[in-house]
Amino acid sequence: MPKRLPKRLPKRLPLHIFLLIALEEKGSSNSGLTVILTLQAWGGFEGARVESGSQWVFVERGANYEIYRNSTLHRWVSAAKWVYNGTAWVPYIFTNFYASEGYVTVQAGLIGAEFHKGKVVYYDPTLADLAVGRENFLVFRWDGSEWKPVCASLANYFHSASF
Amino acid sequence: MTGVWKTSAGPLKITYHFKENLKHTVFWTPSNAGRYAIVQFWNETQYSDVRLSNATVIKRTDDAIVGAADALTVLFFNETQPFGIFEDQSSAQEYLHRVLFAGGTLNFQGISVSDAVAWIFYNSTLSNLDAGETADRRLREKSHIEGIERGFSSDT
Repeated sequence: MPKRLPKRLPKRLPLHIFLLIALEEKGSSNSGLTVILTLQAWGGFEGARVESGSQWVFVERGANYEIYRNSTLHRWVSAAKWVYNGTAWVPYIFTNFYASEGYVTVQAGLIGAEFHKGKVVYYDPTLADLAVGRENFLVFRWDGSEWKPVCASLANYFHSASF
Repeated sequence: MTGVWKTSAGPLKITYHFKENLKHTVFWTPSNAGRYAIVQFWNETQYSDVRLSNATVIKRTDDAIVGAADALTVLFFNETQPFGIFEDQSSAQEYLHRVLFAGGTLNFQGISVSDAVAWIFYNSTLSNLDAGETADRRLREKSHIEGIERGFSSDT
């Protein structure tokens, strides 16, 4: 599944509140400010093409917002938090150390993670501050009197990975 | 991103989504019929305190066995990081059975936890599986957002 395109807005959310800030330009100066709080059903919303007779053009993606503009108006739309890759805000940064170090990292807007064959380590998005040193999943089977481990996401049982 | 671990008891497949409100999807397909539980373990959690769903605050190292209703959402934090990690298991509500917080060693019906946190996912009806039947538990965590959907394939 392709990741979200920057010019489109999520369609699956049933209901979303977004803030529409319209700067009405008159001549060369901005003389009016209108703030409109609307409830918008995402299902019928097709990205930047919602205003009758005007073409919204994507201008900028920030950490947690998107800015659009048409001939007279600016629109600011809240969005999920992304991570900065040094050049732009992106939904995630994937770095592959698999061949050399045996792990890969993912940095997203609110979390960073390091995936090993036998554990996942969680950090802040910059991978600087450790949050959880080790996450594992274990499967247990009830033997009639207690739970017995039968499988686990540990290196000894690692089979395959796909990214 | 998906990882697969295998034993003679069956394959465990975990997909890490990094989408808002969805962190893992865990698939367990046993080789033999039986009653199964899936346990998520966290070791070396870097936060001293935990706020439970019922607003009670406990120490992460308290030896506590908390019922699902009181631990459906838990916030890990400490003095300098008041919003550490918010672990929301709402989408796995029908599976969440107990959450164990252990500073020492804690045992719950054979599931032993040492200086860790463990989420036990088990449902007396839904966790009875036939051989080859898959249990699919979607585990949410609101601190994890956005998706890694495709980078490249590197099966080993």
